[in-house]
Amino acid sequence: MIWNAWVLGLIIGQTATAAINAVAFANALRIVHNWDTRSTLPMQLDLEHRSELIATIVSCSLLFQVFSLMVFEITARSLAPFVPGAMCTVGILEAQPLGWPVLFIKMAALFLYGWWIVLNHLDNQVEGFLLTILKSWYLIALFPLIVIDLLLQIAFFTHLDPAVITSCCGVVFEVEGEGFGSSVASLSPKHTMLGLAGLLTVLLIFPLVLRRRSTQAGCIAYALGSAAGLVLGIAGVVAFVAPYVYMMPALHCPFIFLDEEHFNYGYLVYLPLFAASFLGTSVGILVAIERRFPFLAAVSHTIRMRFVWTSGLLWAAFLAAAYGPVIKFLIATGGTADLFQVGY
Amino acid sequence: MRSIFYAVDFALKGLLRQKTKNLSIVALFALIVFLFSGIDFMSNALYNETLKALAFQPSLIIQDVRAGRQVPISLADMADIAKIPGVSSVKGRVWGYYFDPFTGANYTIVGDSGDLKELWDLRAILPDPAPSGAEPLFLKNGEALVGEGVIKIRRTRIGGVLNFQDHTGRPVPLKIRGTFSSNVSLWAHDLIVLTEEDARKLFGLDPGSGWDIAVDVPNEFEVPKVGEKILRINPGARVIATNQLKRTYGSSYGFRSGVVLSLNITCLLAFLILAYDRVARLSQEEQREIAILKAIGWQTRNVIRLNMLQSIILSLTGFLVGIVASYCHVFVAGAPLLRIVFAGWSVLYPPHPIPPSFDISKVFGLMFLTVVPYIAVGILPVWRAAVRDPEEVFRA
Repeated sequence: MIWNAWVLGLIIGQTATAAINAVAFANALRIVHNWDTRSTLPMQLDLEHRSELIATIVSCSLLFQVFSLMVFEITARSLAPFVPGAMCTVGILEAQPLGWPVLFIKMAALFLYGWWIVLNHLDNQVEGFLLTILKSWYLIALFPLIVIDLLLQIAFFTHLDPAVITSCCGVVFEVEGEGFGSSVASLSPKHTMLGLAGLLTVLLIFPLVLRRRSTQAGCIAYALGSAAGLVLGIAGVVAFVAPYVYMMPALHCPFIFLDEEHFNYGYLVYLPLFAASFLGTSVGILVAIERRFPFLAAVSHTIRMRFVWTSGLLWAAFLAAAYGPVIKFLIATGGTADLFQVGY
Repeated sequence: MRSIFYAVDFALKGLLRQKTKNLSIVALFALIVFLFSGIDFMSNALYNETLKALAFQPSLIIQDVRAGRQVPISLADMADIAKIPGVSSVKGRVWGYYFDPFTGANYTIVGDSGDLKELWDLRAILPDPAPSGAEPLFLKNGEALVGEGVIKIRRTRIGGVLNFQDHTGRPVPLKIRGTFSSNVSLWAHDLIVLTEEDARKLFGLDPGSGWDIAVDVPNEFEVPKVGEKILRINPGARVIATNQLKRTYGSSYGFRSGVVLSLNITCLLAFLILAYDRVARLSQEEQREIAILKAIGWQTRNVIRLNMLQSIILSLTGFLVGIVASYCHVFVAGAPLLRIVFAGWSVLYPPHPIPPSFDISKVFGLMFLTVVPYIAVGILPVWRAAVRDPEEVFRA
């Protein structure tokens, strides 16, 4: 067990989040049981008020969850000196089987909360509480995830043993090594660079096309492209962005460049990547809602076009952040050297 | 953008209408942050100091142990250890602690006749500078170099005499030849350097033994193997690797700060209950304000948003005040309220200054600990106030 200020802060903050979510969960249950828009009883008015409470709680939870993800990463990094073999966040995540699951659950929670807020935003634009039941069910399904997040996190830190030797990013993201991380790191940098650039170009051009002729199919394609962009984006970070930031062909760690030593450059890469793919995939969700509730189509269309535009801009920001170090390297070497040929 | 500016402006004006109430919340919040961050600052600064000091330690320290207790180690094995491949130097060390009954403090005594620069990067400050500066510094028997903390607590000066007693009670007078400065303030503060012979006399240690043996292994990867081979030479010995020490210190400071923080959680809970109460029992005035806003067309979510904005402004202000106050307390004033928890045998240790160390990313962790629960606690009462029917409030 490792017990320090970071771990404590993380657990208390997360407990607070889970506690207010429990309030939202209880209210959501009440809504799905008694909701009746035709009723004129005070009960219905009360439930409508309660839906406001849920919206407030989920909006705050999203904010907290963003914090939680960042603090989790910083906590893991700060624990690295105490676990033999660990040099950065990866070492701590590897030290315990729960490490990666906690990280992935936290990332998933960001998207899930975000989509809920999108639904809520849409619902607020029209009269009649059309989506309230859907939102309540959504929240009921989301609540266990928040509790699991909290419990896994506590289990992770209590079972983190400073006596167990772990392996760090050099091994996990080793080129030609074993395991999933290694296979991502072994992707050919040149091909990944071209592939990601191609996908990003498509994602940048798509908004222009959708502006002229916006179809539901087009929006769904854009959403799928954004999801692929997230996956390929992370693969790209491991395969070539990280080595170019560190100027080391063998160092593929996707966490080290989040620290002060690298001017927190990682945030500049990850923030646009996550935001862009979130808005992009939200477009797909809005289309699904339009199909189910044709009444909302007009409002939803305005919102989703705004999302398409914003996410296009964010993809451009990600493109700049991801390829910036590559271009810097090419300018510094006059375009003659290849980083990945130097080291071997 | 402009709308956010207006919202902040409106929220601030609302806060200023209730100056006493809001200022007291900011003050309490600052106090909580002060408590939490002080501990964090302190444990971090001490840990950094320890790491700096350990950098001057040998790769391996060998102690002799009987019945689980450390005893003087025979220096006869040193020649064998020096033959192990990978070992660059071996040195028997004579050092220990001296309890000074007059001041009730513990000093660290090091007996070293060699060059002092090798030992923890010490730079001797002598009253009469040696004629040739390049010459290494050697002490004569009966002389000592003394850390500033010792000089202060014994109320003496350079040139004065320290009267110590050896283990049989015979007096050992030591002339203070000079003091020293070091990058490692924590470790040089209570330090007294004597000649090896004087130190042996003080501790009652015979010439064939030392308190431990320092082994230097330049290649870090060879350290475990060298440790194993030393154990083959002297199976009863305890071999300590400096790397291992770093981790132990790290988790020990982490644990101590964790324990104190856990105690402070009660404070945090008390504060949260107070905050809940403050928000839950809105004054007549505030209820009327919300009712008027709703009557002129504000929706419930606008009211909630306004209140959340106010909570965020309050908590961030308190947070900033607390962090700044805590920084001044720990690094400017020397943490008078906290040092007792951290400095080990602190009561006996001469007081020492704490070198500043500040990590901006720590702020996020502290915010998560304090701001998040504060905002979370406020949501429910704020909502309750916001959904009340204006008419009901006006009639009340």
